Amino acid sequence: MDLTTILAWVLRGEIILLVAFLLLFFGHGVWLAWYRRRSYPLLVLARQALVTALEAEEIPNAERNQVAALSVRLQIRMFVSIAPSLGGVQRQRLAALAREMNLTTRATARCRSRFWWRRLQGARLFTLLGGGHSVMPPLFRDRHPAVRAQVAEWAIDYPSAVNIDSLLSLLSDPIGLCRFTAQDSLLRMGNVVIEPLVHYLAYHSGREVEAAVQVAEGLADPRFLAPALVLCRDESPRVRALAATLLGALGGSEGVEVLTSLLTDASPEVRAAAARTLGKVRHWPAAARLAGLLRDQTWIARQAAGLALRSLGAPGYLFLRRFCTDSDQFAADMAKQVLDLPEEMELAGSL
Amino acid sequence: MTLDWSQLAALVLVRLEWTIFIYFLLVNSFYALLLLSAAWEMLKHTREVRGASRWRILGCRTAPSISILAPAHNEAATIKDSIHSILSLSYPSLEVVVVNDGSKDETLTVLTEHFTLVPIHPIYRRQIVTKPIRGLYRSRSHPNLLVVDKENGGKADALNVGLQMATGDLVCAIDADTLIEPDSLLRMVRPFLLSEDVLAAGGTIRVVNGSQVRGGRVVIPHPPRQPLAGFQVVEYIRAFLFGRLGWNRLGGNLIISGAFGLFRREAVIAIGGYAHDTVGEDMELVCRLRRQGYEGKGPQRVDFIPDPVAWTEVPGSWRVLGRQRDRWHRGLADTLWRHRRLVFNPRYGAMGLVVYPYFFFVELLAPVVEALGLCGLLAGLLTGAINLPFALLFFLVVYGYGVALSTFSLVLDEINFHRYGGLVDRLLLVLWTVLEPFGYRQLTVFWRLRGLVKFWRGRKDWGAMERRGFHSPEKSSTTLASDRVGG
Repeated sequence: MDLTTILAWVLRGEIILLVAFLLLFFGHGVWLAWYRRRSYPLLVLARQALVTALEAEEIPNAERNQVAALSVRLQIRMFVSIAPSLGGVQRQRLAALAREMNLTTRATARCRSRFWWRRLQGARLFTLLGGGHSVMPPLFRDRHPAVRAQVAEWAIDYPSAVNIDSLLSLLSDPIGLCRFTAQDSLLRMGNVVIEPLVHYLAYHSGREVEAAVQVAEGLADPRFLAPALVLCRDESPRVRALAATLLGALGGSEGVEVLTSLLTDASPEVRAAAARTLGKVRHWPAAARLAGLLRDQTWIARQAAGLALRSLGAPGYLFLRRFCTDSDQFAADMAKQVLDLPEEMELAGSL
Repeated sequence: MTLDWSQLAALVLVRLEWTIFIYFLLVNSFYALLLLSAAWEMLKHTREVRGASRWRILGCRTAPSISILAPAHNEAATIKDSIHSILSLSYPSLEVVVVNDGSKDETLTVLTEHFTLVPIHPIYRRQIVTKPIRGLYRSRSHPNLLVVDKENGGKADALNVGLQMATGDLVCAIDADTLIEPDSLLRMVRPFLLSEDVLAAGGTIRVVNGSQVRGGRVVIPHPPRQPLAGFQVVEYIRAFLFGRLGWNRLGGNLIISGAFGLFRREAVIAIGGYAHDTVGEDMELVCRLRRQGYEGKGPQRVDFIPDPVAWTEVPGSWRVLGRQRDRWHRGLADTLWRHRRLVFNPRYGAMGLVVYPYFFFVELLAPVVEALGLCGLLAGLLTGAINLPFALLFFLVVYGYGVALSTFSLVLDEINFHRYGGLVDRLLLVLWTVLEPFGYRQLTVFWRLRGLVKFWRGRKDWGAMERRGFHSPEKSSTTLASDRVGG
């Protein structure tokens, strides 16, 4: 094949590619403009009809027909955009209308699809419109993390024992998004999750309980005290540190003995957390132990001890002043820095 | 058979041109692969986020906290609006750390008066050596605004100070004059929620020139009518949006733009923060983060997310653009030289076997090869060693293929984001795409070669930048800390 033939082929190929891409580029623009022009008036009418329907006890036929005139895609878009701002009776009416429009049937079919993105769409529809009690719970064990996370979000409105258990099991999911969503859902569920969470904390340890301890800290119920005290002896330093923080959130005098003992923990993260918590609960009898921590090898423990002493008030200041002339230069430096903090610091929030 | 000198020269020239021809054929084919990979990633991403309730994160107490680091140098004119724009971003736990990098103008006074700053004295851990800090201030009107006043030390130094003062789990490094879309952080945090292996994530940078900006927000995007900015719009869409997205699947990114990137703070501090002695500190940081991850068998993923958008003003003059490109290329050369151990080193996985070699053989050497190819082609045509069909074929493979790929990235942008509406905008985009290889590309080759020569000579200056600003058509000339950064 000579060069001219190759040139002709390459030229032809590039022209074809270029024309195809340009057709796609401009064609998409034209299609989009046409689609918007055609669907927007319908969408506006349907939205108005939907608002009327949501205010009426019975959905009027005219309004129902306006909504039905939309394509399924637009119906879904409209329901999805309106649902998050509705609650109570109106949300129930919206769900009823969605059922009439067969959207819930479609969502059910999507939840059973073998494609993860379709299952995700189905789960999102049920999250917004409600329902899906038969198809959603099995999706807690879905292969795709986005689907599992979506079901966790759905479960907020359905705090049954089974769903709470499923959410608790998601707290040890290997994917961060699932753990994060499960934590958020449990926190939003509130008091109803306390008993199952206490049970979960009592029978799990290590990495499995990290996310659960954070939820317990957010809920801060006294029933978490017993598992928190046990978790302060966990093998994982991270769990011990989180448990110390949990004790701070719970307050009270029961945990301070354990917290004081954690000031000599092998992990600096735990020592720092214990110091912070003792400062938070203002346990002044621990001032001397906290002052000792100013001589710690690690900066985070020294800083936590310094700030904790400061929050104890007079007894803490006494120790801080003494340590300004300490033979340990690091302890002296930290004490001076803490004493040097202006009052605005408290107003503006600490760093 | 014996060859005389002219025949030998012609033979060498022809062989060289064929080699360069094959080089560009491979390079453009790799670009095509990157774009296909980007299209796949885009599809996956769209499926994941379509209909997702991002706003739920706003009411979530377990969301990771974010500190925005905004270095500022002589920005008295724009700092107030910039900070207001940053403070209005949607995110539940947001801290803004403005680092006044030794401004000689009224930057600190404007900040103090407008945000009611009061001096504070926090206890912070000095883990990275920086220029001395002169003062720390917190706003009474916006308690999540912290201002650090320090001696001038350049952008990297300012960012390192910000890193140490910040308290967020994640830090977002931005240029103080970048316009970030309100929900960008909510979108950008997603990869960090998905995986603990993600150390950094980059968002899309778009060109603001030509667009309508109101109240620190881009209200109607338009491609610019000036050719220079127009060519850069096409470049940004092709290389910065879909080029980087494609790397997600092909071995991970090596660059996160200094204008908009999110990092795990502890990981950045652990490797010593931004390097001071380079003009490509953003790329160098990412390279070091990933390298450290491979060496310590820890996390090393760096993702690119297409939908968080930051708008930036691109240079409007040839002189300034030349300086910028020259600086970017010096930064690239410097980073690749510092991390030369990575090349074809299986210890660094895809980074050593695919990503680094690509950046070395394609991004770094392409201007050298292209300049050689163009000079050789011209010489060959003049001496008759190369015939016209070969020259045309060369042109079609080097530039024609490139135009087709650029058009494909326009298609991807249109289908996924359709930011630019209207026939005129589309025609403009196509016009800039088609005209880009005629003159503009050759100029970028020249600037990049100049960058290589300067790197060879060891120059590390930043050069001044001129910005027109988002609001006023009048030209203002300031040297911004944010301008002294690579792309």
